[in-house]
Amino acid sequence: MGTISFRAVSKTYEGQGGVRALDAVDFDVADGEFVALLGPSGCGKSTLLNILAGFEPLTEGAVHFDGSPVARPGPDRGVVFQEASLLPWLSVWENVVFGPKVQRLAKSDYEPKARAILKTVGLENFHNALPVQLSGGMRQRVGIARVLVMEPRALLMDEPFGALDAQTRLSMQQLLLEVWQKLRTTVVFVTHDIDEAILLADRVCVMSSRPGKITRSIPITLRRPRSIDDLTNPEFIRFKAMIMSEMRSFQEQH
Amino acid sequence: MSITEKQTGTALPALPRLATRLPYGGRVGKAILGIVLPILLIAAWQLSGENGSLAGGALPTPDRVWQAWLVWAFGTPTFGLNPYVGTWVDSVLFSALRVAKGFGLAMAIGIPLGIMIGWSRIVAEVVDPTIQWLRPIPITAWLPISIALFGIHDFGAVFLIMIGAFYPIVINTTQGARDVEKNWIRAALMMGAKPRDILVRVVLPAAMPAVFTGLRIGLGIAWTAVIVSEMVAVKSGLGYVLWDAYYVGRMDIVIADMVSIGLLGFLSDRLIVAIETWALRWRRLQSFRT
Amino acid sequence: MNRRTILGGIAALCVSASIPLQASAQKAPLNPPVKLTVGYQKVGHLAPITLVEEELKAQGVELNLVEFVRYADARTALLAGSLDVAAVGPADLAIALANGSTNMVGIMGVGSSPKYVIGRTGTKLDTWEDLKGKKIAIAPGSAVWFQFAATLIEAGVPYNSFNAVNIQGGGANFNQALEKGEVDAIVTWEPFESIPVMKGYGFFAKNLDYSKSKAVGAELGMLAATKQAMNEKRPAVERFVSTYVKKMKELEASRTKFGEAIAKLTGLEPEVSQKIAEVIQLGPVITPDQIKRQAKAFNELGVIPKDVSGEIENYWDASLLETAMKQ
Repeated sequence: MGTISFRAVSKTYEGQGGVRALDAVDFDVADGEFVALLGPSGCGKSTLLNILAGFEPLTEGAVHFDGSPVARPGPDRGVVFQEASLLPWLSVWENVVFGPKVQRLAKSDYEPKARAILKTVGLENFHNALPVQLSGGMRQRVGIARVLVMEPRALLMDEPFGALDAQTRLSMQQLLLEVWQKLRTTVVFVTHDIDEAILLADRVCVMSSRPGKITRSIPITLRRPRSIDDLTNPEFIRFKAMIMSEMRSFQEQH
Repeated sequence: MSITEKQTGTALPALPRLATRLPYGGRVGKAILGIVLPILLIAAWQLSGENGSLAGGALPTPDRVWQAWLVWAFGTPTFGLNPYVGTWVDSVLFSALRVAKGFGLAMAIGIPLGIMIGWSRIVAEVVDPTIQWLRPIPITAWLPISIALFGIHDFGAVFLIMIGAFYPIVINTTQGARDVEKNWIRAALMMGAKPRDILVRVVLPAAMPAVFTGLRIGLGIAWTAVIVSEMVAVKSGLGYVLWDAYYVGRMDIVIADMVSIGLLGFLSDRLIVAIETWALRWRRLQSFRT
Repeated sequence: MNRRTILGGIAALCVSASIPLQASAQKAPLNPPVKLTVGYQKVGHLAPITLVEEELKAQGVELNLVEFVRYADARTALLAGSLDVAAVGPADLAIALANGSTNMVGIMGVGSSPKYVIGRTGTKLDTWEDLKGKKIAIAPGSAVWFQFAATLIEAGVPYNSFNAVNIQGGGANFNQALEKGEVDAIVTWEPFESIPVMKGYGFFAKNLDYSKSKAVGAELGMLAATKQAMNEKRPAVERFVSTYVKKMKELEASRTKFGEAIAKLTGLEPEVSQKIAEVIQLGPVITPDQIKRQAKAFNELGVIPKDVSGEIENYWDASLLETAMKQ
C-alpha cells in the first residue's frame, strides 16, 4: 500500500537546447514512509512530484505506484499544492467534499468523515466560509483536509507551507505531525527548508540541480512522535549540520 | 492536542467591499455628479432652438420631446390613427420581450460553445474560424436574409438580436475557459474528476467572471440591435416606433424613443451587474488576512 | 403709305423679331453655371428625371442627383438644407409644417394612377366589406397609407375592421408575405403591385380603388424646394422645373418611351416597366386645396399633430409650373 518506485526516470523540457530537469533518477518510498525531497529551486523536486502525481509525463524511465505504472492523477495520490489552490467559489465544506462528491460516493460515508477531518484541522466553525475570507494558513488546512477525506494511499505535498509566514508554518508543521502520527500514510514532501525536512521526515533525499538528481538519501532517526520543540534538540542540530555540509559541498562542485 | 484557530476568534470577517469610495457625498454625491452633464446638454439644446425647433425645423426642442413622451406614455387612446397615445408601455414590453428571447438564445448557445472552444483544441480548430469569419458581418447586413428566412414573423427580429449578442458572449466565454488556473484543474483531476466533471464543476464556474463581461457587452448590443431588427416586417416595439414616427415626421417621438431605448439598456445592464455581484461574491479583490 | 402704317409696320417687325429673342433669352445659359442638388427615388412616376441632365447642363444648371430610398429621407434632407429640390410624398408639406419646419415650398405634383388593393389569388375582394377580418399588409406613414386610410374613412369602413399587418421597409417583404400566404392582400406601390400580378400569385382588386378619396386623391408624389433655393437659385430651379415638365410631356405622349425611361431609372425588367407605364398617368393632379384638405383630415385623425391647412398657401409656389406649362 502506497509504495513508490522511480527507475531511471528522466524528464527533458523542450526549448533552447532542451532543459534536463531530471536525469536518470532512481527513487523508492516504502509503504507508510515519510520522505522529504530537499533541494534549491530548479532542482527538479517539483517535477518529480508532478510525474508521480500524474500531472506531467516522463521522458524516459518508469514510475510505479503500488506496483502499477502511473498513468494519470487520482485520489489514491492526494496532492497538496503550495498555494492551496482551493476552488474559490466553493465554501470550505464544499471544497472538502468535492472529491467524494465527484467520485459519486455515498453521502452517509463521506459527510461524517469530512466533519471529523475539519475538526481535526481546527476549522469546525468555518464550514460556510469562502476561501477569500480565510488566512493563508486556514486555506492550507482546507487543502490538507480535502485530500485526507479521500483516504489516499499516498500524500504528495509540494512545498505546502512555503507561502506562509514563519509562525503559521510552525503551527502547520505541528498539525501535520499530529495528523500523520495517526494516519501513517506514505508521504512525499517537497521543500527547500532544511529544518522542515528533518522535522517531518523519516528520510531526507537531497537533490541537486542541472541536471536534477538525488545525490544522497539520509535517514532521520529522531524519535516519534515528534513536535516542533524538537527543532532545538541537539540530535536535530547534528542532522542539520550533516545535511548542510552535504548541500554546501555539492554547491561548491558546481 | 489539536490546534484551534485562537487568533481569529469566532466572528468571520465580512466579505470585503469591491467599490472604492468617493471622499464626499457617498451615493448621493455620485448621483449628482452624473446628472450635471446631461442637464447642461439639455439646456444647451433647449436654448439653441427657436419656436420649438432647430436645424430648419427638422429637430424639436426638449420640451416638445417631453410633451410627446407624456402623451405617448399616459395619454388615453382616442378613435383616430395616432399610434403614439398611451402605447409607450406596450412598445417597451414588445421590445423587451424580443431582447429577452434573443439574448436568452445567445446565452444558451454562446456559453456552452465558448466553454467547449476554450477547453477542447479540436473544437476550437473546427468551430472558431467560422465564428471569426462571420463575426465582422454587421447585424444590418443580416437583415435581408432574416426577412427571406422568417418573413414577417417575430422570430426574424429575435434572430437578429441573437446574432448581435452572440459574439461577445462566445468570445469572452472562450477566453474565460482558456484562462482557468492550471492548479484548479490539477486539483480536480487529483480528486478523481472526469473530464465532464471538470468542464461543469471547474471550468464553467472559473469562467464566470469572463462570461459576465460577455453578457454585459452582449446585452448592450442586443438593445442596439432592436433598432435594426424592428426596422422591417415587424409591427410593434421601440425600434418599429422609431421608423414609423420618422416617416410621418414625428421627430419628437423619435427622440423620446431613443431616450427610452437608452434607458432600458441602462437598466438591464444594472440588472446584470447586480446578478454578477451576487454570483461572484467569492471573487472580491481585497482578501482578508490575519 | 402714310406714316402710321409705316410706323405700325416697323413696330410689328420689331415685335416679331423680338419674339425669338425672348424665347432664347429664357433658354440662355446661366453664367456662371449654378449647381442644383436634387433628391429623388427610383420610382416609376419620376422617370422624367433620367432625361433632364444634359439639357440642364446646356442651360447652365449643373445637376447633382442624390438617390434616396424613402420619401422621409428626402424630406429630412431637404428640410435640413442638404438638398435644393426634392421629390417627396404628397403629404410631406403638411407633415413638415405641422412638425415645426418652415423650409419647404411645394412646386408641383408629378403623376397619378388608380390604386388597387392587390389581393392574393383566390381571395374574395369585391367590395370594401370584404376587407373585414382579412390580413392586409400596409406600410404605415407611407404615401399609399394616407390614400388608403382616407378612402376607408370616406367609405365608412372602420380602420380596425381588418387586421392591419404593419410592415416597414421596402416592398419586397410585401410580395414575399403575399406569396407565402402570410397576408391576404397588400397595399403598396409600384413595382410591387405589378410583380405579384405578373407572377400569378396576386390580382388587382378593381373594385377597391383607393386613389379617389376627397382628402388625399390620386397624386403619387410632389416636387418641393427649400425657401433658400427659391430665393437664391430661383433661375436654376425654374429651368429645372421647365425641363422636367418638357420631358414629362414627351413621355406622356409615348407609352413605350415612358416604359423605357422607367426601366432605365429603376432597373426593372422591360416587361414590368412597360406594365407600370400603362398604369401611371404622368402630370400633376395635386392642388393647394387638396393639400389643405389632407392637412385638415389627418390632423383630425391625429396623424399630423397640428392643423396647418391655413398655412399651405404661404408654402406653395405655383408660378414655376405655370411658366413651364406654357412652353
